[in-house]
Formats: sequence, structure tokens, C-alpha cells
Amino acid sequence: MSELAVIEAELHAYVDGLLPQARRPEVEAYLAAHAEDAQRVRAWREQNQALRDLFDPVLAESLPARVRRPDLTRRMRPVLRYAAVAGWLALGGVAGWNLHDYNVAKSADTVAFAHRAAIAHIVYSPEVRHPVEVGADQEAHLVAWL
Amino acid sequence: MDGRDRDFVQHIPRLRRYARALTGDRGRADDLVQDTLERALVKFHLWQPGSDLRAWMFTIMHNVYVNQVRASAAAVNIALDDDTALPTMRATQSDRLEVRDLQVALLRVPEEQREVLLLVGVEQMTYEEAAGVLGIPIGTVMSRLSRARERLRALIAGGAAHSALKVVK
Repeated sequence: MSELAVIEAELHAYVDGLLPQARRPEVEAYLAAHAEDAQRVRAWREQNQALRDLFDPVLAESLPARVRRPDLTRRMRPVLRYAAVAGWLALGGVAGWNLHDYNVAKSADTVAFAHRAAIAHIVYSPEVRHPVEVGADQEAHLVAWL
Repeated sequence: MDGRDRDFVQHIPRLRRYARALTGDRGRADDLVQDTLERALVKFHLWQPGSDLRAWMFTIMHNVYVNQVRASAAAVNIALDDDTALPTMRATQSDRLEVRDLQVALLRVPEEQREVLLLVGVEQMTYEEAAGVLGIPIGTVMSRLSRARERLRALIAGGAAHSALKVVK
């Protein structure tokens, strides 16, 4: 088992404390025998430590207001979105209402027109022979008709 | 809502630490945290109760950060590689040189590698957690971690051997 080759991923895991406990002695034995890898592992460990030393103080800083209350600006956004929806609905309602009036007026016109057409139909349809007019050249016929 | 705010607030210091290490700049880091928190509030209904809220918030921060980097890719590259980084190096007091060196060296590690290095090394996430936060396979986490550590080692070794001015030229 201990003959299993140590792969680079295990060296990283060793540095990051993510190596399974059972594997540790084998990796340590490997490092004892490979000075160059041991050197790299040491350097990586120092990097981790140095990075934490460098950036951990950020954790203790008091938070700037804009980070502490990030919600003030954009939490309004859903509200604005709803407002926009309501606005468009209202606009649609108004437009629809006016359009309705307009259509009602138009359909009233249509009814009146149909009414006149019906009267005209009743007036003129019984007359089969003279639906429109009699030409001037048919005077005799006109006289006879009258 | 109050409970949610309280849960969020509890993770803010660590988000700030990660953001600071990632961006190397206090203002930019707090911008990132602010954007992350706002997005987390808007997307809170997507969080599954019982799952790790910290990992979820780090995932959001990662996404926000990637978008920001993508949006200003050119500017960031110039800022990191250009002479603009030098005045701080030059003004550094000798007793703080090491800390400054680490900070500068860290910013020279490519972002995607830096993220892994910080999530594992500073935030002490497991490789699985880091893979989840970054949305990458665990094998990718390992290879990025490896490259990040070797890169940082080389940068620090180089920085100690020469003055930073020479390294950058």
C-alpha cells in the first residue's frame, strides 16, 4: 500500500489539510525521501500562511456603509418593477376604455348607416323595372310609365 | 427578510477578504462585494435552503467578478502589466517590502489561478467546494492550484533576487 506513488494532487492536499489521515504517513515518508518536493511543499505552506497573514486583517475591518446596506438601492428594484407593471396595466386600461368609447361611437354610426340602407332598400326594391333611372333617350317609355 | 439580511451580513467579512485579495484594491473589492450582495438579494429565491449559503454567495461573487473582468479586460491587463504598478513598489518602505511583494506577485498570477489559490489557501475551501464555486471540474481546480502555487513561488523568488523594477523592466 505504501508503495502507491504519491501524486502531486496529494502534495497539495497535504498542504491544505485535505489529505485523508490514513495517507499522511505515506506522504510524509515520500517527502522525507524527496527533498525537492519537500521544498515545494514548504513553499506552498508558507504561501498559504503569508496570504492569510496579509488578508485576514480585512475580516476585522468595520464594514463600509455601502457594503453593510447594499439593499437600499436595488432592493427597490422589484418594487419598481411592480410599479411598472401596474403602470402599464393602468395605461392599457385607459387606452382600452377610450378605444371602447371610440368603437361604440363608430358602431352607432354603423347602425345608422345600416338603418338608412334598409330604408333605401324598402323604398327602391319593389320597383323592378325602374331601380335607378330612365335615360333621356327613353322619353316615350318614361311618359308611359308616369 | 431580517433573517436573510442577518445571514448575508455574517458572510460579508469573508467576501470582502476574498474580494480584496482577488482585486488587490480596496475600492474595487468593495464594489465587487456590493454588486455581489445586491445580486444575491435579487436572486435569493434561487438559493436552496439548507445548502451552503457561503458557497452560494462566493459563486455569485465569482460570476460578478468574471463579468467585470471580461468587461474591462483590456484595462485590467494594462493596469497590472503597465508601469502604473511601479510607483507603489518604489515608494515601499523596506520593512513592508515582503508584504507588498506578495500582493504584487499575487496580482501577477492569472485571475483564474488566483481564484483557486485564494479559495483554497485563504478561504480554506475544500477542492470540491472550490470547484462548485467556480463551476469547473475538480481536476481543473487541481491543475490551476498547482500552476498558481508554482507561479507565485517563481514570482516571489524572482522578486527577492532582483528589485521589482528590474523584474518589470
